[in-house]
Amino acid sequence: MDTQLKKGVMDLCVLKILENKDCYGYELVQKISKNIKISEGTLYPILRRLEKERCLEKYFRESKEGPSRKYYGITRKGKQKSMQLNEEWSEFVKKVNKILK
Amino acid sequence: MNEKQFLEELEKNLSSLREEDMKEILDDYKEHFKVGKKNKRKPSEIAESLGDPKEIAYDAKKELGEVNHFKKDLKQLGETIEDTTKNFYNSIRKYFIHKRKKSKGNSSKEKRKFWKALGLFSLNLLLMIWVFLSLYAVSFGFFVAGGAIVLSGFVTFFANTFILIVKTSAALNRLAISGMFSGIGIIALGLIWLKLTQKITKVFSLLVNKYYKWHRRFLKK
Repeated sequence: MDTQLKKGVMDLCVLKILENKDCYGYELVQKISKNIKISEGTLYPILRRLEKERCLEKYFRESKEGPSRKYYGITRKGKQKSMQLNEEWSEFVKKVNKILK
Repeated sequence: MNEKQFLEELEKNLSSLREEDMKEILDDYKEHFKVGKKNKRKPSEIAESLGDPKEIAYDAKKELGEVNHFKKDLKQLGETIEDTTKNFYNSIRKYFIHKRKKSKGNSSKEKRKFWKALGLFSLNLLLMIWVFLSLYAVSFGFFVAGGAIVLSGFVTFFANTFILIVKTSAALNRLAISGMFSGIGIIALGLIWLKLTQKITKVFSLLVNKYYKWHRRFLKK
């Protein structure tokens, strides 16, 4: 699948996963790359951008094994963005499917 | 590619960033390697699935908006002018069509739109373009001045080194040594000047961006 196409929907994937539960970077990256083949490294810049847009916030939390880890949680603005992107995505899929039929 | 190679390659491609940004980015990937190794993955395997460091660096810079500020600013300024002109033209057209038809329904709304467009148009034409252009002229001037300071520092330094090498009198040598040090001082001063100018330019660029966004919102209303 085309990488540009994948990158476009990564925002939505990241926000959706964080709606369920806060994650640290590695965890989040694994959750996505388990399902979608993508260069894992390109997800971190997306996280940083979403944080800059105040859709995510990061904090440090102690982990069971060893030093504290950087966790990401979704903000209210992030939830709004997720809803909006979700609608756009469904609309897009519907239209593409219509053409494919 | 092993962990060290990956991180070095990444660092090399991020060297244009500010140090704290670079450190934050590198820390994310170091952490990624650490957790991955704890999960019993081989470092080379982790590096492989992370992807090409060059591409990552490019993405990271793009997300930080570090990919050529000046070009982005120019584009935004261009769009601002284009927006205003288009909007102005459309409103005038609509206004006169309405006037001719003498329809009462929407005319007050159209009228308001017309004045808004006219206002923005004149604000941009009379004021903002010149304000932004002069901001750029100022920062450009500062950059040139900074470059000149650094250059003069180098000249001072090398001229005095030359005197020292040719070895004239002892008194002149002492003078040359102090001259060399002042050369270094001037270079440092010039570098600080350039750094400050860079900061100022960033603030300008932020202003352009803010105005652009406000402009967009205002026209949409």
